[in-house]
Amino acid sequence: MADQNTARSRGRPGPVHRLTFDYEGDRISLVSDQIVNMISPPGQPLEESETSAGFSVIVRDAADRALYRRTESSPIRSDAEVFSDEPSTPLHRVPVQEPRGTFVMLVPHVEGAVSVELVGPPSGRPDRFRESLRLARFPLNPPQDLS
Amino acid sequence: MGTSDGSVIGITKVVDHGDPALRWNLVILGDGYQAAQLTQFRNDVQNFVDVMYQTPPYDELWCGINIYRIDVTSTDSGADDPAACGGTGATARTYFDASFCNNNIRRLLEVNTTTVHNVVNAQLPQASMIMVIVNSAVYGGSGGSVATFSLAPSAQEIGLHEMGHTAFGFADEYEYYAGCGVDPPGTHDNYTGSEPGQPNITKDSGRTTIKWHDLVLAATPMPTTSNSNCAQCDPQANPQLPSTIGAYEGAGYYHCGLYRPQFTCRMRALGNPYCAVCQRVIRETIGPHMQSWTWGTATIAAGQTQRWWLWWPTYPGFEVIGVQAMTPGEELDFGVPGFQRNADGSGTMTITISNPTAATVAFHFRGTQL
Repeated sequence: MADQNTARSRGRPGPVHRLTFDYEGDRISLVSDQIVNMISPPGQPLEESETSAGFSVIVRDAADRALYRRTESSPIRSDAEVFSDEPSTPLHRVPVQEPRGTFVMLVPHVEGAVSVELVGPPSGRPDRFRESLRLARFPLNPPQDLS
Repeated sequence: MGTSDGSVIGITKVVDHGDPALRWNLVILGDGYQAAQLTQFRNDVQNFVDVMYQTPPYDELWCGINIYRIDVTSTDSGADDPAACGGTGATARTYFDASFCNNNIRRLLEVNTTTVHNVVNAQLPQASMIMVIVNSAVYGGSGGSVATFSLAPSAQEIGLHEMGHTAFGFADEYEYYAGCGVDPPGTHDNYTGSEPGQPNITKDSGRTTIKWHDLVLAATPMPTTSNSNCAQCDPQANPQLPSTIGAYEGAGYYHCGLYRPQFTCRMRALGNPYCAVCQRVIRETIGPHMQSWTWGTATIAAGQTQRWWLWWPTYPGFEVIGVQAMTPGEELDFGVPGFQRNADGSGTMTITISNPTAATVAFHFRGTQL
């Protein structure tokens, strides 16, 4: 018989940056940085994801070290998913003619965090896993007032 | 058209499991609903909630989820449906500017995401996922930062698929871009890039190195399927049981060189369950939002017994632990759970699980406090 403790640390809320971005083509701007008290989405192990292709959001300290990283589907829509009701043409993708819109990223405020970086394929690149570049980087506000 | 064509009425919590700071919060808004149609919107939201509640693994994670409805009125009912795409030519003055025919594709139904995010940021900044239901019977939807879908039959599947992208970072598991036989020759034959960061596709089909290696049984061939002609989508039927987890070639818009965990998945084609790997990621994301949550995946060797204990900091009640055998045909024996109240008011529950079979059995478990 083996005894195993299955109790894991409870998810605890903390200061999370709710970052709202606007984008048009490859131009990305940070339009708001709300500090919210909530449980942040889980990040990925930093050593595993540094070389991964795809879109990532990275929180960095003053020495440029990654403190938090999460890889996800790119919120910058260089293409769109089409949901056809025709069985002969199921889910598929089409390039977006004029990529622009708004998206939100949730990242935890980690001790020492000073900036957030968006990494991913440039817009207009359908081979989205081949090349990831720094798309934008912005300073993070220190958490003060929690909403 | 836009915010001058309606107003935000307010926010209502329709699935309430407590403080939004602790829970995973889904926010659902509507577009193209006139004031007199808000009762219909409430019913439409409830219909999606009912579908989600019956969708694994959200069913077992339900106590970690809050769902909010934001009532928004529009001047007109419905959405723009331009005749240029074969639509009715209708135009509708709506708060979020819902329109079919984006990119000249009728089924591509989109809203103004900037306006949606502005409303949600003001109403519930703890929102984890945002959806918009558009009051139209025409089939359509879209993804991105806001999942959008109409009222057409089965359009709710769009919401579940897009939630996979937006909330959990899943890649598409289909092996084409524009379509099988539609993609220009050579453009989606062989993937040669670096390892995708998404959890549900990989270029590595190695038994011990694949991302989901712990879910692959020893008897499963790796790769599990291979595409014999990378110039086209793989036409072969599934040679394994539907539940078999392995490395099936064809995923992430490429015929070859990228693998998916199971033959079918909601991220490959609508109407399927999420594959086991996707379900695990959903558990890992929402699990921390459950009260006193405990969950995971484990195995018990043939003839062995394990004893598990779970601890709750308080005792307003608890939900019986769900333990589900993952290996078809195998059964586990569960002893009678024990419970003791501790001196500090916390509670400790014990459960004994035995494996009387001749093979190792994998299972996942969860426990939570109501």
